[in-house]
Amino acid sequence: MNSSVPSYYFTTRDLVTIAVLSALGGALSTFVGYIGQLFNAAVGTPFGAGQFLSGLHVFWIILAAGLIRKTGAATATGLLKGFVEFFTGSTHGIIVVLVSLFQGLIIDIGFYAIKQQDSLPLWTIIGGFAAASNVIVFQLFFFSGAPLIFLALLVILAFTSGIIFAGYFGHATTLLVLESRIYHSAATMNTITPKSPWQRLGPYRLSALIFLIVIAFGASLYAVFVWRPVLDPLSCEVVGQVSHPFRFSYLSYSGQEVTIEAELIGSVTYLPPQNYTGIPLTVILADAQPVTSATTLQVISADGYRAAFNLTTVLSDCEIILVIDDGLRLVAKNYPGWFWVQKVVSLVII
Amino acid sequence: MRTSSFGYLQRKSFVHRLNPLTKFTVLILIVILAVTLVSDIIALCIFSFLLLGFIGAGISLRYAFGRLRRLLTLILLIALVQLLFTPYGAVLFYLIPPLAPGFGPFLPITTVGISNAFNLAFRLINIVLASALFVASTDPSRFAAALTSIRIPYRYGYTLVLALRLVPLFDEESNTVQSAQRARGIPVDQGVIRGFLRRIRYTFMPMLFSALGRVDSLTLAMDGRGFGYAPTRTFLVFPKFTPTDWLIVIASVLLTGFFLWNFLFVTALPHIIG
Repeated sequence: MNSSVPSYYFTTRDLVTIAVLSALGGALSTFVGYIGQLFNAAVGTPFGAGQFLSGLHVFWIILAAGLIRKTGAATATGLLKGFVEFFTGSTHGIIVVLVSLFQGLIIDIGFYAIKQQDSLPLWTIIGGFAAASNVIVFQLFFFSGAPLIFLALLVILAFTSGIIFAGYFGHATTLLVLESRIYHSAATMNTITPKSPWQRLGPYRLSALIFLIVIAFGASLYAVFVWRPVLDPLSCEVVGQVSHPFRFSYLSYSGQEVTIEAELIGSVTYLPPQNYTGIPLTVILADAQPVTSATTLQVISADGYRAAFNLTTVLSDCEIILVIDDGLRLVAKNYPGWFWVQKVVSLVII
Repeated sequence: MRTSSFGYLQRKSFVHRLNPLTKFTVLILIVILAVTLVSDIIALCIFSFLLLGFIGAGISLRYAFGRLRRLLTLILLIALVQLLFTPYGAVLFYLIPPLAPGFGPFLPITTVGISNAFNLAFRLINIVLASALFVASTDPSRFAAALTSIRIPYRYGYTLVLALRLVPLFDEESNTVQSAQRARGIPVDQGVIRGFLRRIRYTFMPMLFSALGRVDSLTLAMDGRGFGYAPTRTFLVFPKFTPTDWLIVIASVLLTGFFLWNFLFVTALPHIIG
């Protein structure tokens, strides 16, 4: 009989810590997820507006990494927290396990890279990256067709949330737990540090300042690069690789309307089969005369959203039409919901 | 004092006797269907199936909806937002009538808005109920044993089970902390937004510290029982994968495959609203 007790990389204490933080974090993250979903429903962007809370999901993982200080602890906490979220009814279903696992992996890589240093700026950056990763993972599974600049803004929002809620708050909480001595950890943190101007600013003011800067920066980017003013809501430009670029006006084509029956099946919105009357894109593109080398049609909305179509397919499909619905709206029968662009301002042939 | 609505409930039912891995597979498939398919009829079918599951497991519907109680407020809010801000479909009426010539009406209630709100609410309700049914009907020890049977090291399998066992404990503890704060005169449940923020402020840190304070006692208890003493362990009750389990798993996979195929390639899902 082998009398020697095997030694493990993660001690029983580490595993219990992981379980405790995963249980707390998973249960609370489910609620945070519902609040995020509420914001998404209000704003109408799946996995979008709720990103300002994404750092709260990462907080627990960074706390576990800070207390255990072993490579792999964050990944294990992320995986376990994901399962707890799944079992407590996360809005995202089983995907939440992968999202959480990926967040843990990033924190582990980050902590490994900084050699588990107790550095607030480095923790905030790691927290930011981990929180931002969820935007990418969700896009891999629920591709929304949103423009890259919009996704970049979401990444920035999630990153900021990660800096504040995961990095800053996680660091402060780890420090507090270690100082309190309620949890005995091999980790030590530098608890007495001289007050720098950065610290004198105070956590609340600092957080508010970072949030304001990011929101202002994001709004500027959106205004400059994404948003396009709607001059005449019933018209749009037809440009790009065409022989005859022009401004399409719905009213001047009103005699060429067709009626089709179409059903919108989106990842969030569903519209049952109903009749739509509008101008086929084939008619509009015939007037623009695309050059033979053109391959793609991009339909762009006022808020920067764009959907790309295969030009050859569009030219032979009479069931993609522009209708009047709070401006111009593209109805694309046989295409998923994310191709149905609202407030169309540009048809760009590439 | 309110007790937790999350946790295992011991019964001698058919659902309880199923292999935990079978229930886990069915849970994943139900959640995939609930998240993927946008159809009120399918949502109602899943909902009915889950209610039957609760009845079959001998678990009262009161428990099922008790689990929903906290999330139901948020789910209803999400549905309300969908209802108010979906401008498509036939307008049934406006919540705010015209206030002056050229000003209003606002907030149309449309057929599609009702359909979307219904679908989203039931999607979330189904996810929560499916998870609750799994947790309520699965003995954590059997779940740990089942995980070991698929070659997951028992120390890690048990960590998952431990986390699931801790959730109801923390749930009850948060009630205790809130009661303690109320006894000190802190109005943690007055006001919707302010009450919510106060609850976070006065509950979060005590909860975290209380939870971390358990680590030592739990570790000691586990070490004392020889947890990790050997690389493998034995189980008093080891769940077998019976022909019934196989039948349920195969039927669930085929049914889910059929619905997903229908959604992806036929897209003719039935609807009753809109």
